[in-house]
Amino acid sequence: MSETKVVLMYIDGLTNPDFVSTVKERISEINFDLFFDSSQVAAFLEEHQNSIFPQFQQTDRPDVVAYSLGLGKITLLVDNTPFALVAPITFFHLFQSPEDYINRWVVASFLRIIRYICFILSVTLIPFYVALTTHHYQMIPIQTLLILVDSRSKLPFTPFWEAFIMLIFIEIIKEASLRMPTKTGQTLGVIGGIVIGQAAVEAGFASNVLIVIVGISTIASFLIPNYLMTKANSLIQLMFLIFSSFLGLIGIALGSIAILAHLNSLSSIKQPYFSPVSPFFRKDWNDLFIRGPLVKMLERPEHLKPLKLKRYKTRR
Amino acid sequence: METHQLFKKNETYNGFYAMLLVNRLQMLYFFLIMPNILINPYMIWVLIAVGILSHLNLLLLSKWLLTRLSSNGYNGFVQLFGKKLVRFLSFIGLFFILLKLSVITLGYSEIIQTFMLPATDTNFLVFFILLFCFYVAGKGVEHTIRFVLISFFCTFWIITFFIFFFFPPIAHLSDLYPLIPMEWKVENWKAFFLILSSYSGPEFLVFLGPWLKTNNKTFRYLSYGNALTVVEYVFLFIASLLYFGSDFLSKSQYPIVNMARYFQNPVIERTDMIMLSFELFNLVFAVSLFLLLFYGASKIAFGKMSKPSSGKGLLFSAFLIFIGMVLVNELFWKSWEKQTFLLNLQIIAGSIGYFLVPLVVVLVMRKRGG
Repeated sequence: MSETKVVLMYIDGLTNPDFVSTVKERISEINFDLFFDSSQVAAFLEEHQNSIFPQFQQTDRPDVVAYSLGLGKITLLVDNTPFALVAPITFFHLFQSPEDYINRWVVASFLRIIRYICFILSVTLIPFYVALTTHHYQMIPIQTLLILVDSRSKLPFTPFWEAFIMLIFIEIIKEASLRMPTKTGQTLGVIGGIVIGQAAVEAGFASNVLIVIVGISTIASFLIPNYLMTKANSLIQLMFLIFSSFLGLIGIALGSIAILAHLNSLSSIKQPYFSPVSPFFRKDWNDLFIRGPLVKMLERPEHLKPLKLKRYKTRR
Repeated sequence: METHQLFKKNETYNGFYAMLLVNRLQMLYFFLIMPNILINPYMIWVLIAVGILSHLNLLLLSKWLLTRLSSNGYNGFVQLFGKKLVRFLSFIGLFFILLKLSVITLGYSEIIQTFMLPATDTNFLVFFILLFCFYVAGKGVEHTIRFVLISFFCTFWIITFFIFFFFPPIAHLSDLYPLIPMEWKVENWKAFFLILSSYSGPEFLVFLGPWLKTNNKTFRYLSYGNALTVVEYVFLFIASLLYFGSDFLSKSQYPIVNMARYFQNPVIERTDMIMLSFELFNLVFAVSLFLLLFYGASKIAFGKMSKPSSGKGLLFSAFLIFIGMVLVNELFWKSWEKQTFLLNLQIIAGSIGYFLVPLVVVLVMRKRGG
């Protein structure tokens, strides 16, 4: 129905033809009147509509598109939108940044690992605080416990409500800074983060320790390169928070199981979303948690099932 | 949840998955209590000997998995045993699965209650564990088998922490004597069957034939999984001997967890709680797989194979298992003597199941000329 032009790009003889046919088939089935962003097209192409995880990567960087095409992925360009759609992607692609392939491999690997750690911190740090202060006091070393007891002694709320209120507050600040012009947004961040945070402590609504944890957790969430994934982060954090208040660390473990089982069952244009971990592709681990030296990455990722696996002609 | 595809077969998994399945299904509840029953250092040899025996079982298992019948799933078993016998065996199998599920879930829940959440009722824990297992199982057999990778990556590293017990001042070589038994006590038989039962679990792979890609390397991979288990069992047993000494080992109900309680670092004390939480990944994986097998077996036992599998059916199975577990918990597990009876029952059932299932399947196959 829509007259929006969509261009499907891929490298013939390299990209798996199944990806091309799947996307072509799905595009032909789209029946909608208006698209003003490529993410709306993606919504019609995705297999798992209710998932919080994006199954198409949105990018406005030509180098990302070129690199993805070179690996054997397909790209969609949608008329009147600057963002291209790249597929198939995996959960781990959401943590890869174009700079990874510019930096020295050791530096790039370090930064990538930091990103993964920050993702884990951003979703579990506040729930961990709630689990420890609600259920597992014995895990906290005595010196830290004394600080914590002092910090929480005058609070009227349980750790869960204290953390919940702060999380909602942070989400309000994040959303408000997005809606404001850049300079006002910065001021809002300073006022919201520092002034209101300090006032909340002095008024006895939140503990000092929680303010620190919320700060670390929020900054950590900004390290994820994918914008859609950053948005999903808050929901995961909230879910973990609820579970941790019920069952402590067991709640966080159960939440993690649910997330991992969900990721394990997802797919991006029929390709497993959690590969190369599950299903397991050993060689693709060269560019997963670490970014191996380019000279060692002689093959394209196996999980993308490219028609040509070799990337270089070696002299050997 | 696309539950109508619970038993769909779109892809098959290679030997690496079979290896992990064997290993993770063997590393369930019993390994946590094992040293408390083995006690004597010379049981190290029994652990290794039964491990070798387990290798033979896996050889039989691989023979079955290599046949065309195994990849046919239910129809393969019908061709082998006939429809009526398959229904009867499935009915018997339901009790075996329920018993195993009850012991591993209640055992783990009790550990959680003892070490982490003393104010939480175990029935409440069982409910939540089963709820999440239902979610994992609801993704289907394919994804549940694949979940073994996640389970493995989240749990295999835990054992490396126990290496600290192998160094002085904890480790004394004298704690490992006598390595040769001077007499064979009656209690040692219980320990023997406990070990055999601990190695059980891979027999359930008999039913996963349609999802496993088999070739002449299958046995090798199954053996690797089993060998890894042997190493883990022996490693943990020696560590517990070094830590407690043979005399005190029987005094600790959960020796492995008690040892882990002494791990700490400047940021977090009681690292054992984190380890126990990670161990949940393995439990949820195993229970989810057994839940699917329970649902499949109940469909066969009650003659509902013509009807497609559904989320409601799986939910009903999970609900039945939950009711069963609550009853077992209230009637048996909470009383010490009755809990011992239940453990003994699982030790016997696990040993018999592991010993008989591959043997019977291969013998009948040979008889039928398969």
